[in-house]
Amino acid sequence: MAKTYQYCVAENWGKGFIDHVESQRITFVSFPGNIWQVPAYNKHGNLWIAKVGGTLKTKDEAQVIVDAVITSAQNAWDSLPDDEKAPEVETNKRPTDIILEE
Amino acid sequence: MASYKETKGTAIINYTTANSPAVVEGQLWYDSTNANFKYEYPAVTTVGSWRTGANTTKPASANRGNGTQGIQTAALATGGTTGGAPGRFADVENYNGTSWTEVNNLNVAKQLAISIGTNTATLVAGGNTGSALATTESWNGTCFSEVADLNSAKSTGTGTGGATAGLAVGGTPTPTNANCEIWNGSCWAETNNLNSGRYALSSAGTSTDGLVFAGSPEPAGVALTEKWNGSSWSEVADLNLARLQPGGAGTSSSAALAFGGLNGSSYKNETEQYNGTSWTELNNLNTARFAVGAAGSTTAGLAYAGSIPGGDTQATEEWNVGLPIGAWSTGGSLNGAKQQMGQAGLQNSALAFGGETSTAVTVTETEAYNGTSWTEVNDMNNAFYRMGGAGISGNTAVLSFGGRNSGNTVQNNTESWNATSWTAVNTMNTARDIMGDAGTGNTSALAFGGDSGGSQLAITELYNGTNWAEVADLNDSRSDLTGFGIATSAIAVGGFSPPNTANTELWNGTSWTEVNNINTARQEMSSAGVDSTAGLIFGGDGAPPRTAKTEEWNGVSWVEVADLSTARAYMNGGAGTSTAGLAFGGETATARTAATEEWSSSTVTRETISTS
Repeated sequence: MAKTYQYCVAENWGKGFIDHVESQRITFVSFPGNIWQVPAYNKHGNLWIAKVGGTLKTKDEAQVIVDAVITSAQNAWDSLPDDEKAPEVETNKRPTDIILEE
Repeated sequence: MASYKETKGTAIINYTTANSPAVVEGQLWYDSTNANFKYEYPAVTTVGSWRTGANTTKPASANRGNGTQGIQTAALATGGTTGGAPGRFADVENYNGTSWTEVNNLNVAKQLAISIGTNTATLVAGGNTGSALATTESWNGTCFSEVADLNSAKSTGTGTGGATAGLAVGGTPTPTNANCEIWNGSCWAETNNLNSGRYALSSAGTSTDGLVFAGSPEPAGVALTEKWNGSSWSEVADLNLARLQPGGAGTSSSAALAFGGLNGSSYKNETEQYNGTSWTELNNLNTARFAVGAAGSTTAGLAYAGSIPGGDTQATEEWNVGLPIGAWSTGGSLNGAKQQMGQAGLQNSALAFGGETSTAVTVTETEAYNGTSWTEVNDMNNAFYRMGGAGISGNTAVLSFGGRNSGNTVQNNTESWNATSWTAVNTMNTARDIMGDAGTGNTSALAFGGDSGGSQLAITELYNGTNWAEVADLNDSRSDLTGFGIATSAIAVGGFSPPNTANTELWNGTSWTEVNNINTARQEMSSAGVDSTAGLIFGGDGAPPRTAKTEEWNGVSWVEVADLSTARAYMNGGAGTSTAGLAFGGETATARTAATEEWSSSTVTRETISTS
């Protein structure tokens, strides 16, 4: 099956990591573990990965990295005292699984 | 080798970054500030799309004139029906691009008339009052007067052209439904017939260069298209979709738009554009309908009213091509990951204050952004999070109000930032957090809604530089909303009411009015905007729990634009303008983040020549 996306590991260094022109040309999506998704078979996606020194990952490899971060966050949440799991403030929700697309 | 001037006819111009706006599309120029070569090109949409406009004032109106009446920002709706034939009316409404206003009525209540022209000079010919009419009424921008009748009564026909040179085409009764008449400014004269007689058709163009398409027989309609060259009709390429009573817009036989319509019992939202050779399917109407009013062109069209399943609609939609393509790029990251800090300022001059760095750990940290990086500056007096923040002129004059401490107690404290330090000032009347906020800064601010510690609020308070005073409530109580603007012109968006709401309200300095909703109901998004006429919302908590969705407000409606690259919620507040917004901090699917993103929306993209 042809891929829709490609994945890489790259750390967002801030200004210039994704510039305005790059963002106009392709869609960037970040995932836990510094995983970035860009279009597959796309010159601009390839150029951006090269620019940021991204390490290419297959979808399955990227999924393993994402899963590890989410599992860690879920475990951390599970170990919280009960009053912090259901706090008056609703921001601290248990992280949910993320499934990457091919 | 030939010089650049020899091949392009112009020398390479030397600009500094500061004076470079004079460059033109396709021209290579030298940026002496950054010592590189640049060029630019348009960054606008080339395929049109519909976004909602203001509703017509007449409840449930349809069949408001067949033909094109005006342009997107100056249109006329004439007559029509409410609830079918018994409800024919004479009402006329004028659209100015923002709202519909009732103006003087037709002399005779009617539906299914041929209406052609502008909102200052229109002809309304024929129509139906129970039987087909031959009468014609002329609009002079103020009122209608009767002028010369059609030679044959017509209902459910269409027309091209305008008040001084027009064409009336087809319609019922069926024995004459191929009949065409031409208007010379004074009277109608019969001219060559259509090749395929029909009614419920639509049109575009002028009295010398027109196009008609779709139409009877019922129930499915036809896809037939005919071109008028000023003297005769010829068949050209069919629509992709056969239909009855679509809307039609466009200025010539080679630039037409067909939208909506009825095919059997199916209400259609399909939009097609004709380029002189063929029809191409483009983005659909948001509301499927037939007997839809129409105005404008293939680059700036208007659809209003029409029949929908079970009734009629007041909905208006605007078709646009050539809108700026906005996008998010990364900015300098905060010095520490945090969520629900106070936020204020502009894209290149913003302030982040307070916030929560981990569960129940709130901080007094303040960071200032200069467009490139965040720098820690003097701390707040109180370690709160979920505050309101006001400031639209940069990071030198900001107000922080309300919030919650690490012990989960809501606060009414107010602190004023003067570019150097925070000073405690008079408190709010109602302690609250996760409210909507707006205002110019530490001399004028607006707080609305929020959470008082378990209850959603509608209370609005206005700060005048010294004290807070209660003013008119929101219509809908809610917390976790966002807001943008100033004390006399603001927008309140979304939130938790419960459940998550898409509701939008507009503040005019005195009261809140409900306006068009956002597309995706959510809470804890962030926003940018300096008044109620233009803004952005981005991120939030809804479905999915952390969204990257961005929506743009044009003063009337919301449209989805490019997503954040990092989905997140709980940024709190917001900074920047509708064309230069700033997203920073918040919480992703797994953790608090320090990431910053900058929204830029302009009609031009400027690129640097590189070897990569």
